[in-house]
Amino acid sequence: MIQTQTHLNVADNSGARELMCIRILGASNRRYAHIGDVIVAVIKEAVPNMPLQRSEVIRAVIVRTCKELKRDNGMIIRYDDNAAVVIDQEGNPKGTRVFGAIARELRQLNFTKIVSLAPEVL
Amino acid sequence: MVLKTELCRFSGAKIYPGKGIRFVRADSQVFLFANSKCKRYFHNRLKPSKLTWTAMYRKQHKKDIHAETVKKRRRTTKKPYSRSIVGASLEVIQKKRTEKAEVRDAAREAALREIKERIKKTKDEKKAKKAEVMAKVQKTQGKGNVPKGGAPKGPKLGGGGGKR
Amino acid sequence: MLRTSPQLSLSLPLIIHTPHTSPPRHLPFFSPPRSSIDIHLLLLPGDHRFRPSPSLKRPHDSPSGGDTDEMYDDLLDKYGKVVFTRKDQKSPIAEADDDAESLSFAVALAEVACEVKAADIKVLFVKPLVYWTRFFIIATAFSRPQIDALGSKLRDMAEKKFKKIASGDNKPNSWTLLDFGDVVVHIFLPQQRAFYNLEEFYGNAIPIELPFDSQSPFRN
Repeated sequence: MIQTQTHLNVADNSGARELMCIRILGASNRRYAHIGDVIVAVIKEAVPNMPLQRSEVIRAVIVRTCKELKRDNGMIIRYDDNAAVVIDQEGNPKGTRVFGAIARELRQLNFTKIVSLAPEVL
Repeated sequence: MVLKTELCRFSGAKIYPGKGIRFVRADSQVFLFANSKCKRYFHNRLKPSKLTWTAMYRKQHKKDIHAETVKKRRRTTKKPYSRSIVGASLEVIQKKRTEKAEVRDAAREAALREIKERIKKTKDEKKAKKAEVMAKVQKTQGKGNVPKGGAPKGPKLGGGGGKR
Repeated sequence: MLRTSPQLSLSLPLIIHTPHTSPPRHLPFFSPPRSSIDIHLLLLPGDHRFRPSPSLKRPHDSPSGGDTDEMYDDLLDKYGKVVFTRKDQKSPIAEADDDAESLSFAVALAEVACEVKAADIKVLFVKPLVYWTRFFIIATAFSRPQIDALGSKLRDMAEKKFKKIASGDNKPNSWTLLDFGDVVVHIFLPQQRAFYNLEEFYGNAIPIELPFDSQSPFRN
């Protein structure tokens, strides 16, 4: 359940450390974003000497949420943190590696690039 | 497709497919909880080993492992230990094992006796030798008292002579 | 009991040499029950922050929780029964057949890529590493039109010959990905290929020998 003003961790090595969601893409009055949704976010904290700067507005895909993710087979998965991967307008990730476990739903949502960079897919 | 029951990481309870909540920690370890009680206790950092209803507590306090241990012991005892050891090859060991206890006892006795005998013999021999030597000495002493007495006296005398 | 076990093991040859004493009586000592103390030391839920993070490992073979995991394995042996089986269980042979089919598909795709003069084509067998696909094809194209041509050709071929439809990027992209299910095709521009460096990330995958020359010498 990511809404505007939610702070998220960054699960890649793009150079951003913390994001704040400012918009959920997909519908005009959408309240919450879940795993696999694209959000517009602002970088609240960044690693120095990296291409991404603080207060830059970027797009990101949510890859982990504290809110449980339900699958059709009844499996319920929840993560420790809210995390997102920074992408560009074309949908390519800005970082080269993704950290932490990632849900396989991302592949169905056409984020196979992120999945193929991730170390573990649950 | 095969579905299996899984176990709760907190309570050790059986979880049927479609039940339970999977929690993925930051280090991507997966924990599966049977119900919200287990989940909450885990997040409250309660130790399952201190709650009497968990499988871990029961395991630690040896609540239901009597049958298990008995079984295990029997199984381990049935397995004979057989392999060749440095000096003795496997056949030798097997032969020894198949022998009857009395035979082995007898063999051992015999060996011991033999050893004892040998020791005795050597002792006897030694004694005999000693006796012989003694006897010789005695003999020599008894036989030639004069020359024996004379021989040691010679140097003495000479010494005395040198002193003078 | 634990302390004496080394001595017992030392005395074992002696026991065997003189088979008077019955050696089996000592044997339970050689498999001493694991002390319960370290079990509970290892499964404090509180100290989970201080554990080493085995990021790439499954929880079941994490080194820190060895004792507890063993215990759970025991329990699983006892209770983890199959409660539901569908008949579509694949035998290893069928699995191998599927692998072979995917392999032929992947090689066919790679051939098409070679025809369109993609460079440095690599086919990786990644099934042992990731569960979600079997083969990766990594290729370099040098311009967006070329990527476009490559992508559409691959799609056409897959649809006609193998009846597989790709998901992934429809428009040419600097990293164009075609997801055929079993086979995932990555087409990069040279710069992106160096940037993402997928070959290194999947360095443990088994590279497949291609029947044609994939290292097209021109353009390099």
